[in-house]
Amino acid sequence: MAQVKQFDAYIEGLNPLLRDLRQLGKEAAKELRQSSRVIADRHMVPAFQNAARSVGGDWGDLLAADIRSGLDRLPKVSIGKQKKVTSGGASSNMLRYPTDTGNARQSYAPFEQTNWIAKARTYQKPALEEWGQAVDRLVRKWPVM
Amino acid sequence: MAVGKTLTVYLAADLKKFNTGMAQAQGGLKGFSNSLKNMLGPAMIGAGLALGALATKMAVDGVKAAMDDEAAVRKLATTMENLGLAHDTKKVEAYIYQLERSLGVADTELRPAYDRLVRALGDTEKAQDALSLSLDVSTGSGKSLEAVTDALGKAYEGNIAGLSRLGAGIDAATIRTGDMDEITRVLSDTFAGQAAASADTLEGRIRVLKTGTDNLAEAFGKGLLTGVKEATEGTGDLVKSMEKLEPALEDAGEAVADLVALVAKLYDGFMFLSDLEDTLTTQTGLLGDAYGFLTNTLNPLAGVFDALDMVMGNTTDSAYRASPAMESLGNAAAYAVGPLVDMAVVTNSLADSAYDSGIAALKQADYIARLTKILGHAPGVITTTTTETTTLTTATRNYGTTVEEVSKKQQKLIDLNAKVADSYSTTADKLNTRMEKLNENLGILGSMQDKLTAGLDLAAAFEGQFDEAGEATGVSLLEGFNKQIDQANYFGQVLNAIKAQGADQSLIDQIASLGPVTGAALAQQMIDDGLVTTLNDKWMTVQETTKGLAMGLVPEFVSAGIESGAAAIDGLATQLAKEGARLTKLGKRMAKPVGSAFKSQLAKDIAEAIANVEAAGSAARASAIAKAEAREAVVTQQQVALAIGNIIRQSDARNGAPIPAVLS
Repeated sequence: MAQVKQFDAYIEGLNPLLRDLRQLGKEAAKELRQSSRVIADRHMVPAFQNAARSVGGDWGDLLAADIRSGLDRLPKVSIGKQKKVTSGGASSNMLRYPTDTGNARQSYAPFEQTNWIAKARTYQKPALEEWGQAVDRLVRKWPVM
Repeated sequence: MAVGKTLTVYLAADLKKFNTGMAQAQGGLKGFSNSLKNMLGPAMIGAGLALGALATKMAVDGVKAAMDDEAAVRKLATTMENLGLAHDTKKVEAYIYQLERSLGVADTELRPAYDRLVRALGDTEKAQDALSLSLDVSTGSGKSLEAVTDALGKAYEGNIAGLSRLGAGIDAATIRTGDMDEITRVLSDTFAGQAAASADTLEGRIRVLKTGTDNLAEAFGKGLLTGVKEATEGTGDLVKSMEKLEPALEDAGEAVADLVALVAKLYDGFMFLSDLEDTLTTQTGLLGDAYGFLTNTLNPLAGVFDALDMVMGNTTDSAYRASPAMESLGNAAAYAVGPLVDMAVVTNSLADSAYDSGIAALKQADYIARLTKILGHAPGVITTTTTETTTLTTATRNYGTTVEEVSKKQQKLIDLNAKVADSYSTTADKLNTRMEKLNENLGILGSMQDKLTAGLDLAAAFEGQFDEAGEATGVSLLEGFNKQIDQANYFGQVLNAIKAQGADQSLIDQIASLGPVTGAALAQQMIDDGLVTTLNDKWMTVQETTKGLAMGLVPEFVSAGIESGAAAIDGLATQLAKEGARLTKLGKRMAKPVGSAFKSQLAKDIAEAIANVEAAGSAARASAIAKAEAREAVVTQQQVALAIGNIIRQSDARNGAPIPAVLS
């Protein structure tokens, strides 16, 4: 699936930490993924969905419906799908760009740039704290020799 | 952000990824800069003559022209927008660009002219036709394009007075009709094709070349203005590129100077030819005159000879009689020979002059032919130069546009960087906290590992080979180590087992501190008796209640464990069966690194021991050799001393005077 990646924060030493956590074993990695998904569902998904609903027209609901968490060792959300969601044949991926920061290009639809994705980034602090706690819990639970 | 792709937002990423992204962005800029150098380098070197003018004008005139051009473009665009023709602006600009290229008329003239006409006509197509007609009229009549377009614009608006002053050959009756279709037709019939024809002349081509040169400077100035705004590394590269181009521009300037000198020489050659032609004509005229004089001189002599012949024929018979008269006649003829000889000399001299003139004429003809050949190459050179100039102008324009785009992208990167920096500053502290916690936990793990491996004692394994009497016990060093390793593995498995049953870390630490033997036995007993959960609860309670009183712990949790041990046996058995696989895995995981570490340590120790033994053997051998050599040295010295003593004694005996020994 073609995708574009964005990162909320850049943290020095994160990659070595993830590499060390890999030594805890597959069960630990699985638990970290589940914890990260829970964090994403608890903080990130609602934040992006609320922000999407601030977009005018019916596009907000369509966009919010296609925001979901992903399974990874870091909390993540995916915004948009390729599936057609409007009568005109547009997918939520096509709606995301002009409603956020991009121009409408050839479209005659009355898009308005709301920068809604950037406005959703209020979850970062609690989500990062919880993820840190999850890592701490994991390290205590799965000691390595 | 790409359109039509799913956006995935991650909570965090390593700073390395951000740095990589920034490096890629910087690499892109540098790559662009390099490609710019590669693009501009050959183009500018190949531009040749046009760059000669560019070298002197680019720095000052280029910037000024770029500013004027921008103002003119904006003015025309505003006019088009006000007239509701904004959608045609690009097309009009393209038309002006094409006119400029083909006719050599500067866009700074064309834009105001078009602006005037489109204001009068309100239609893009008609304004283009009117501008084309104005250019023809301007070229044909010698009036400026501004004057022509102003007069035509006024005429289209209904004021036809200015048309008569154009001198365009429109009769008053036609003008008075005010029929612009008719007036346009007359003008078109009179001046059609003038501009194109003018552009096709040598002067026109030079004008096109000059316009191209001016545009080059203008485009460069535009790029320079855009580049200066950045005030970044890109500007530095641009300046460096300009510095590198300076020698090429100087060479181009010299090339232009050479061309001018060549043209001046050609002009001098033409003037010389013209003068020579006049001289030749004059000399040829003199030659004709000389021949005429000769003819006129010889003709009377022929008559004289004819008369003499007649006289001599008629008087043959009386010749003898008239001998005295004949003698007189001979004398007269002798007198006539002298002038005839002189005349022949003059004739030869004239012939030589004519021959020399003919040679000079041939040389001149050859000179003219060669000059004609050289002049025949001139249009080709000019065409090539014009093409190169056009290429360079296009490249420079592209450069300006690209620099503008890159500037915008760079600004976006800067904004993004600032945003990320803010975000990072808020999260960095959190990460540091987590990293401290992680380090703390890793410390706990290290401590636990130390406790588990506390029972591994190389010295004990070594001493275990002998009993108190120093006799061998039959247990090898390796077997001793393996036992210790097995004990450590067992200890780790037991500790993990009680941890899996819910034992608190503090309790595990307490048991671990007892050492592999005692601790393992205690933990095994807790498991066997099913006391893990109960003891843990008790332990936690004791920890809470006796935290400030420093009460003894062991008796209490032991007694408590004994009391509730039986109740947990069944649960323990079930839990053990459930966790058996995991415990096995954990045991292996613990045992492998410990075993391998000790095996490697053992191998290392053995290797060191062997090395030490070898070194000791070597040292002993070396010592023995040294001692033997020392002994040999002593013997030799003694022998020498004895020999010397003998010599002395013999000498004393010969002299009869004993000399006391020096070395006694």
